[in-house]
Amino acid sequence: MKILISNIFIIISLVFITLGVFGVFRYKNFYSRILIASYIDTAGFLFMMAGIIIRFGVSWFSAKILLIVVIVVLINPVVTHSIGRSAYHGGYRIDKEDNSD
Amino acid sequence: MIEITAYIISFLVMITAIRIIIGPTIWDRLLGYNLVMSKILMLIVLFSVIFEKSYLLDIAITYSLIGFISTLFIAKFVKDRGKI
Repeated sequence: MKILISNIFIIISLVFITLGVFGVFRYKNFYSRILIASYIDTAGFLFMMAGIIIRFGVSWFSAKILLIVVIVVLINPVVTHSIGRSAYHGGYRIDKEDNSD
Repeated sequence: MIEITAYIISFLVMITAIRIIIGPTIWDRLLGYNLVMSKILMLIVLFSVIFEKSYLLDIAITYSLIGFISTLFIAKFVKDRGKI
């Protein structure tokens, strides 16, 4: 039963990750691409770690995985923001008339 | 099941690496690097599940911290065109 639930969570995370990879190539301008890719990638990461934690129950193993989840949840948005900010302040502008997506 | 997930994710890492190669601007490459790094982090955790070894998770923790910090500094370096 526990294995089944964790497998479902892992399958959901796989769907999220493939959507994230698809999102990286679908969007033309940089800013929507960075939003979609890192946003969905973090979600996929969370679902997979939840699946693994459910599979291992309460133990030192899942405690370490929880630490990794906290690190990723805290730092990943900060890193993505810094990339977008460096793109904006580095002079990367999207030409306004290209509003395809 | 976990092995199949590891195969799929390593395949997706290669596809994300294509974004690093063809990325028009340097920031696309930085984004691709960030994505590849978080997917490799997932792979490390999956391998620690497959091999049932808990010390691999310490590698994952250190790898995630170092990877995030390196992306931060590269982004800051690129923003000022090298004049930090």
